[in-house]
Amino acid sequence: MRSAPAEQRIPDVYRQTIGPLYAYVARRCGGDRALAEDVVQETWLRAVDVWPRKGLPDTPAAWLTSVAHNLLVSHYRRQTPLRLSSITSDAVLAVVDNGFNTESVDIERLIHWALAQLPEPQSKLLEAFHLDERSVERIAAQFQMSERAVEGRLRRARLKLRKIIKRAVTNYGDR
Amino acid sequence: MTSIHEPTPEFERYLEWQVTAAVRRQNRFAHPSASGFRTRVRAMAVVVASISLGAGVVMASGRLQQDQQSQVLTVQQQGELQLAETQLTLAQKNLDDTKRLTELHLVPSDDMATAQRNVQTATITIQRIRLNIEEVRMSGHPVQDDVTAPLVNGRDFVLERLELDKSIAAAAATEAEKRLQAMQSRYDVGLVSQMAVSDARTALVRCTSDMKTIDEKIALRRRFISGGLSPTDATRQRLLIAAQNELRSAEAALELATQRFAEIDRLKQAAAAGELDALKAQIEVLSRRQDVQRLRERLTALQKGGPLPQSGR
Repeated sequence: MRSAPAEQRIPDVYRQTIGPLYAYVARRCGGDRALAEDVVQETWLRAVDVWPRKGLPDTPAAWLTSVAHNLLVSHYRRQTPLRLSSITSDAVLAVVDNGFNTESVDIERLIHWALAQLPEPQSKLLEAFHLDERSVERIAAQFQMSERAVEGRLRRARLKLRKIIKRAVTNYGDR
Repeated sequence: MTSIHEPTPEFERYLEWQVTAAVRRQNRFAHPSASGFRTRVRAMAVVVASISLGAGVVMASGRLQQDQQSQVLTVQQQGELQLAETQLTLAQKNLDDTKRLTELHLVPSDDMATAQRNVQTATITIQRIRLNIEEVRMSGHPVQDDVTAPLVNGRDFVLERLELDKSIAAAAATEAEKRLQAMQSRYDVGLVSQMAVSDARTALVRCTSDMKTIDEKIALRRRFISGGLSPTDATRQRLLIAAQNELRSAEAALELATQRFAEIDRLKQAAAAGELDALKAQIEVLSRRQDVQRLRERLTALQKGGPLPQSGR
């Protein structure tokens, strides 16, 4: 953290980052605008609490994204996957195999919930690939590993996600 | 209408007010001695609030935000460009070293093919990032790489990127072909096992399949832009192409795993491999078989016309 007069720069940072931050959060909220707004608002309230005391971080956008990600994970971890009566495990697993592409809000939410149950390195990898639509090549550069290693880890993370979803649908739904 | 991935103007203005007010409040009550600064913050807050409230200025504010978003995206891309340029320098240095070592017969000659491919890939990656920067500057939005993305001022960035991807895939295929030839020659004189040849053959199948996929995506993009396909049909075609590519690669991987299992089983009988190795190889076969089965089912579902995605690569 730098000790710059953060108060003066916060409104500028807000205007520069609100769009990308909101898009990042919205992609993880399964169409729930109220949730997206709550998370973005809470993120910014934390920023205005911390930044004036500690100074602006070197990369405010990364700080905001990281806080928003943690808020979302906490939110999803506290939830039980609801409204599963209309979903079959096969339908959800087909979406997981199909690159997370779905028109069903319920399935999308269930996937976000399941992602939050994964260990962070695995969820971050899956999110980078499926939600942020980064290529394997870019992820490999970002996480400093080979493309083959990324593919392998993605595969294992997807298998784990499938297991979590299958268990959730068996316990709470698939009726 | 606001997209689901964009904040509504009301929310954006409300949160801006809340952020500004929180900063002002903190400044007012937490640092009572900083009166000069407080005045400046208050003045700035008043200016910010005035800007937010002015109806006519809302549009200007929106345009400003778009410009700022474009700047943020450009800065991100320029960071990537710097990284890619460093990778190119590294790849070039590695190529020079490999050339020297190859001349001294200290490394196998097919290392040269890899080093050359790395330089070529790094060069094309830089071109790709430059294209992204240009697109962001022209559109003011994040890069759109889907086959159904619109043209930007009449320019088809998606197609240009696909052509670059094709060059990268072609370089990889050339390298894989050279490696296969090298492995075959080494196998003929007993220097490597049959598995090494199979490994190289699988890599080539994968590269060839990637190239075929890019060719098909290029054709699809052209059809979409010429108006020959609806966005829904184009998306379905894109998914089909991707699924077919994955299936081809998975089938090649299954074949390789089956061969490896047979080889380990043979070695086990000669006491040259353990039970654990055989079990691992068997698990690999079963896992690959499951992959193939799942991909076949997905392909069938897509061919029948399954649910369509909202977005994707």
